[in-house]
Amino acid sequence: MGRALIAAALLAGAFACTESAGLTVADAYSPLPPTADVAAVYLVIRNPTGRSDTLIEVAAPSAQRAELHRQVTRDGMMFHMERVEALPVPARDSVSLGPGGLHVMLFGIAQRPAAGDTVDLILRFRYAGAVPIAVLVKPRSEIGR
Amino acid sequence: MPAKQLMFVGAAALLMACSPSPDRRAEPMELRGQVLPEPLARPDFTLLDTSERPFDFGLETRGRLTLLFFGYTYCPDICPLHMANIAQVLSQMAPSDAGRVEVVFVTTDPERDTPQRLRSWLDAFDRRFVGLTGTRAAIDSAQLALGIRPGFRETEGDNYSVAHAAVVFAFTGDDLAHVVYPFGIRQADWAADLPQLLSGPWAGH
Repeated sequence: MGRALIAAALLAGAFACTESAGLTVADAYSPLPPTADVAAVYLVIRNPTGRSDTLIEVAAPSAQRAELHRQVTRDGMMFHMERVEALPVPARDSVSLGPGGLHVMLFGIAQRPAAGDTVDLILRFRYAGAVPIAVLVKPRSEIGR
Repeated sequence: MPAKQLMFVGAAALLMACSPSPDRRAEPMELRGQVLPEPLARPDFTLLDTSERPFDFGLETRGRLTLLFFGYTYCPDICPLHMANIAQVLSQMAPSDAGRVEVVFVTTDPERDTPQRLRSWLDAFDRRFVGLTGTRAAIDSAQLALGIRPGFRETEGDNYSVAHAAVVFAFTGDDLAHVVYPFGIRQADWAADLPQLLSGPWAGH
């Protein structure tokens, strides 16, 4: 019984977040994309360790290309999108990717996903290495309530 | 309570209950959008709709609550969120009210956004949304008429992105935009504002 409980707890932990050397990626989702051409992925990177890390690469096996982007605005009116080559994740801090800010952009998804599907994504960090995650595709109506 | 007062209360209640459509014109509005210091006139421009027919914006939308947005269909973040939020709120309004709200999406990426592509992208949100395209010059001048910098291609290569204004203009029945909706506006904000824009002091006739 004790062992089963521990196993269950471990399993629950594995589902709750994807962990690699203390750094975790959580709450990964993508609003259901209107087409298969582009999709945005949002998530939270938590770095509870004492060492700053850097996100250096994003990859999605089901997409032709994946890039990290940031929306930039000076006046709150005109928005520009710029590519982010490296995203620092400071020690004992977290970085959120969210609408109007940072996102992982997927280009050319093999098949347009449906709400409830998951899309595989791999985040590569300088120290934590590759962190594979499953991105949940959410109905768009749930995003900007 | 004296009979006279009772009669007065009764008459007032009857008046409120029987009023055919609540006239909110006298009520102060509490809007979540950004009220402009000077309202903007509903612009006049003609572009092509997704059936490739000329669409005279001033004429086609005159006197109607119209939400106007400039964006592009390869936009991953801001454009689909604005469209999804508006579509979701309209789907929860009474059909008679939702049917009085026009949504017009003008592409800032006419090279990639063909009428067919615009149509299928908009259909993912709401089949009633109007999609417009045209020459770069015509699209630019429509934006300049509203005082926004025209959207422009900002990166090279096939998967280029387009910088664009992230604001939705709300033209009311009086053919003015008194209020705009910048990025960050949520469904709850639209749900609070749209009924006021339909029946408030700017609703026109």
